[in-house]
Amino acid sequence: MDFGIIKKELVCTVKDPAIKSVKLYLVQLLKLDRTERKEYMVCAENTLGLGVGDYVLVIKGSPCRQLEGNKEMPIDNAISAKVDSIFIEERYKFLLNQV
Amino acid sequence: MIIARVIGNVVSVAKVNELRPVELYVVEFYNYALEPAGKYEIAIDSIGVGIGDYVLTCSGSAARMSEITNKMPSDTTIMARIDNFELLKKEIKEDSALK
Repeated sequence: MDFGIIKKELVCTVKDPAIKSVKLYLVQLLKLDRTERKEYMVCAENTLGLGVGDYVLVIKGSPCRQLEGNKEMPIDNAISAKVDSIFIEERYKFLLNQV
Repeated sequence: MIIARVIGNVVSVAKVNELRPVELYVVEFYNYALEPAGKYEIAIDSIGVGIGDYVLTCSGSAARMSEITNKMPSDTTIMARIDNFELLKKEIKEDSALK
């Protein structure tokens, strides 16, 4: 899982009927101290009720079809959780800007 | 499988239902020379680790093979805790053919 922030919500009128019930978000991946990485992802989500500006966890690859309701969907990125806080121990704080 | 170190955990209330019973730990990947490799990942913990332990993580679809995470959307799972290392201390001779 990766840590990111929702930048925009995508609206697509013409879609594959299999992913009709899913909302698409544009997520930018972040480093642990919230500085932005140059990677973007479009992620599918339908149960958590998210908005722009939420910090989220992103799943890549085939595990995201394990979520209920996404069994037969052609998606490979999904949002699994809304992050409230990330705790990094004091002695590993030096890793924050490199990681 | 990659050697990693647990450096923190993620607190998140709004999660998908499959991720309810597990905790999410922030791990820092190490390279073979046991230095931080500058890449972090958020992994599901299926064996009960503490912050600061050296662990082994496995990613990809194999992450769902362990008994706790077989129905969970997990792409990296902590599945072993390393007690000690026996690295073969070999000096790599300056071989002109290698250059």
